[in-house]
Amino acid sequence: MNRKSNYWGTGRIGKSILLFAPMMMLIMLMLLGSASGGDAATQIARLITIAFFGAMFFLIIYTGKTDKWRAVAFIVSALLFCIAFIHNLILERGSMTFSNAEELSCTIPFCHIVTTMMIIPAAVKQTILFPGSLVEGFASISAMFVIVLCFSIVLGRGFCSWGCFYGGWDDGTSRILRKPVIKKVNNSYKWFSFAMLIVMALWSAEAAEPTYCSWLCPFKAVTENERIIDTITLIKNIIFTLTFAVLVVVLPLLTKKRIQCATFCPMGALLSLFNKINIFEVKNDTSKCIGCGKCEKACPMLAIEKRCPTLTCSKCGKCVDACPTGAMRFHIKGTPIDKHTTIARTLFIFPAYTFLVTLCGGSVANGLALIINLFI
Amino acid sequence: MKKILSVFAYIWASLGTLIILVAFIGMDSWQQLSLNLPFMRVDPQYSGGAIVDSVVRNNLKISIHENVFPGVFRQSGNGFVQIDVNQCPADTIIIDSVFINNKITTISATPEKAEADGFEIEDFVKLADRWIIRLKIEK
Repeated sequence: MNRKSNYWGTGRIGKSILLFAPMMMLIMLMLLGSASGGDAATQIARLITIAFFGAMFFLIIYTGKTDKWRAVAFIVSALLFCIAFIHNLILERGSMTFSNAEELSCTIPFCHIVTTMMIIPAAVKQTILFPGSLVEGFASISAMFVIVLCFSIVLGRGFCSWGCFYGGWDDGTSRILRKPVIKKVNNSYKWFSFAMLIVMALWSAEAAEPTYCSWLCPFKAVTENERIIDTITLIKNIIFTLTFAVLVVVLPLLTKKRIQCATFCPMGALLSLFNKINIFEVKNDTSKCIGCGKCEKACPMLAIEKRCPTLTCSKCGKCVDACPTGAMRFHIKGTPIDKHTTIARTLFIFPAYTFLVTLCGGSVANGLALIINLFI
Repeated sequence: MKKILSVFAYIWASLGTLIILVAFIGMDSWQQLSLNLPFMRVDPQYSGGAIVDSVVRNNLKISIHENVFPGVFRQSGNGFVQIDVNQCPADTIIIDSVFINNKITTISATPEKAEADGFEIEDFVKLADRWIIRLKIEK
């Protein structure tokens, strides 16, 4: 069976436009609705961002390839997010580093990964153990709480492939080489992220500080890190750089797997638990499966075992694209596996893509405006 | 039964985009609403805790926070009292036994009573609009 025939609109411009048009309206609503004014570079960047996200969505529909075009949007979002984020920090505090001034004034941006370390203090002490702002300022605690809660319910671990502004980094590096240098990575390594979740939650509660952020987070290297004032902060910064180099660059490059996201990130493990209650899943229609194993080989999250996606699936769609028979597909739990493939895929990619655009669109436009400003 | 389940599944799935849109468009309201959650307050270890007393002296507003002993299961760091001093125009400010040298951004503290044990500056920082001073305390 030809896989492309699975989706309504694939290879048909008119039908693709029918599905694309509402998303384009959403993209314009989300990116133009909250923004107004700005200099020429900002206006140009905003238009390019809208065109870019629109084009990627159209290609998802028209080509029937989910992961390929999602990844382009996702990786570009991650890179430009970091540029915009660092620029914002420099504007606000004159540096991408933070010191005890930012800690004591509670102005550290809250990131979704911190959630994993907040669970126990929130339950035991009814407090958020993080020096961030509750409402005001950039990336406040309440804003991230609403975002994480809403996305977890709607898309489960889809966050890791459709919204996480860090995930794009190792998604990108895992695609640089055409073939992996390290060919076999044990799928069971993915359970290490659950160990990380438990250890980080307990360690943070015991030490009364967000320990993953303080000691291990690879993305400190490309966002915000602690100012080096003594040996401890120097060691921390060395660890951030090393974890980034090893887990986000070298290992994904050599294995073509998203090693940081699949094996190390505690937030990924927490979101995997939401996959249990989430309505969307990627499922193998075993009646069509020929057992070629391409899905397992393609999966960057080490999530497929015995040709079936497991709890840690991030719904990137790479296995769906790789499947030669169309057996691997997006599916809505409680519905027949062999029917309404287009509806299931469309109902999933609409909220997922809307989320990506809404969460990262503004940063992409800002990052792009900075780059344009360098040339004009 | 399976058909009814399917219909509900499709309805729930189709609400996804709407939920995402409502979440982002109404972000301000959701944020305000989330503040009512019992755990939605920054740990006193970072915020300094609730202000228990405020005094105005020499045109300075001095806010004294509650005693804080950081930790979740057990005390994990030094206890402290945070004092916020708003607007420091002068070079040197003396508030009882705490001396703030605004020019060279240093602070020193001297106990007024001999029985005050372990009286020292735990942390301090000068922000654009105020000084934050933390005095070490012991139980």
